[in-house]
Amino acid sequence: MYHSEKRSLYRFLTIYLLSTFLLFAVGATVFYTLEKHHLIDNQRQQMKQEGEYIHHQLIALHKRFSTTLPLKLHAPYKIALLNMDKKPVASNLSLPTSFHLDTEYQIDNGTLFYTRKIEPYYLGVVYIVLATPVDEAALSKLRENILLFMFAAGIFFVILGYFLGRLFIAPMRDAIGMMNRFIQDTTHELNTPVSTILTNLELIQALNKCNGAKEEMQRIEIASKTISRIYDDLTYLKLNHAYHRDIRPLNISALLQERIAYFSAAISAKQLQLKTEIADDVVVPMDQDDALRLIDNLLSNAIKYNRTGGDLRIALSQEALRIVDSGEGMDEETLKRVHRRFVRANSSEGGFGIGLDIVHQVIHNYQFDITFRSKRHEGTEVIITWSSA
Amino acid sequence: MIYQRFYMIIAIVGLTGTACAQENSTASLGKACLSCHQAQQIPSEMIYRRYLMHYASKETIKKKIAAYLKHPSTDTSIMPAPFFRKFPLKKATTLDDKRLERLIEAYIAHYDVDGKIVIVTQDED
Repeated sequence: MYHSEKRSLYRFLTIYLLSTFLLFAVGATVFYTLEKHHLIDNQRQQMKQEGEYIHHQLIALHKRFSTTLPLKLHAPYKIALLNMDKKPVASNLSLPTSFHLDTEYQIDNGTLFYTRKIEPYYLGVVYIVLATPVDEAALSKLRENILLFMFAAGIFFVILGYFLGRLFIAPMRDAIGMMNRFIQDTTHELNTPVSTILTNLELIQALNKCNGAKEEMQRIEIASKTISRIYDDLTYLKLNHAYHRDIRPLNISALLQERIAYFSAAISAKQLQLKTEIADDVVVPMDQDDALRLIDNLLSNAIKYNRTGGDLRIALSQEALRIVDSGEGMDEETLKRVHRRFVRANSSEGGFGIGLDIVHQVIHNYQFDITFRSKRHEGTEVIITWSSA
Repeated sequence: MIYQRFYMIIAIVGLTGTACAQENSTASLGKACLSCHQAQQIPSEMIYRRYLMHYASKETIKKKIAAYLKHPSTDTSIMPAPFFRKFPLKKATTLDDKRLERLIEAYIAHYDVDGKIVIVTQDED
């Protein structure tokens, strides 16, 4: 699966699962509230029945003239019988301070209260107040069931979302696959003619057969090397995922000298003032192809985006590689997005916008640090620090 | 010596006065009210229950009983009119207000249901 494909799938899954979760959370909350009310309503009904039972007993006891008047009460109810002055006639319950006798049902601190006003006032009782704890065990069971359901639904929707996501990104996968096949075929077709041009060019230069057309030959060389480098970049990107890296101590000093020589035609064509400070034997454990792509792209950019007759400073130390050009430079917004694939800082020059994407891939793979300093109309400075080296 | 006897007489008179003032409410109630009620078989407790059923407030009951005792009539009585066919209306009381109030309080305390109702908790079944 390609990186962009993965990213799209993750984004789709995130949005899909978040919205599903939100919908389920709202549904579960509504369901829980309704069920809770239903449970409390049941308790209320039972309390009402108990209130009637007490009322009937009061009627019966009112006609009894014995020294004790037993009033039966079902557990777990507590009761308070209050007179007209709201004083207890009999009670095994302490009422909260916020209690209202004119409210039929009320809940205070996990206790459900039921108040029944009776008339006539048998045994001087005006209010029967019953109290019982809210059925927390049933509510807890309900919460447990809802969570279990949410969990099961969550798993189902993750699986469903994954397959939906794959369906969703299928057109993109096809498009990327088609583009990759196109690049593969094109690069393959380009390889042979570019190699032929460069080999023959070197042969002509070696045999000194270009008398009188040196400048034209130089242009052909630059153009051919540019095509060759594009070919290398595209091949690198194409193989990046399946490519086995041969990481070993690499003499960056020698490689950098070699690549400067490779770009010498382009440097002199643009009349750049080259200043180099290359320390000897800077060795960094790297794959040669990765190092080549890193250096080539940085040098190529510094040459391509430099002004004619400008400065090009290259410094290599045991700690870092520093390349400074005196070109157009970039503003902060461009600097933020310049490493993205197919993004070009300046469209006045040719290219696909893949150079800095490759640089960032190499930096990321080797955990190097990269710093860009750039000012419009002054130039750009790129520093690669071999932090993990 | 004469002074000593004088003080002793004063003390005896004072103590007797206090003892008389601290009249036993229940005994007083029995003597002043219930003796006649019992003799005439007037259902005192039932009458109190009727007061309770109508007013459910001791202060109101106190006022209503006092009003009846001072001006007995079928209008001021808690009992229905047919009750007086069997138990004729009593005469208005001649007791002073303070004594009457104490006796009414004793009557209420005697027949009230305070402490009589016992809550018996049963299992849910």
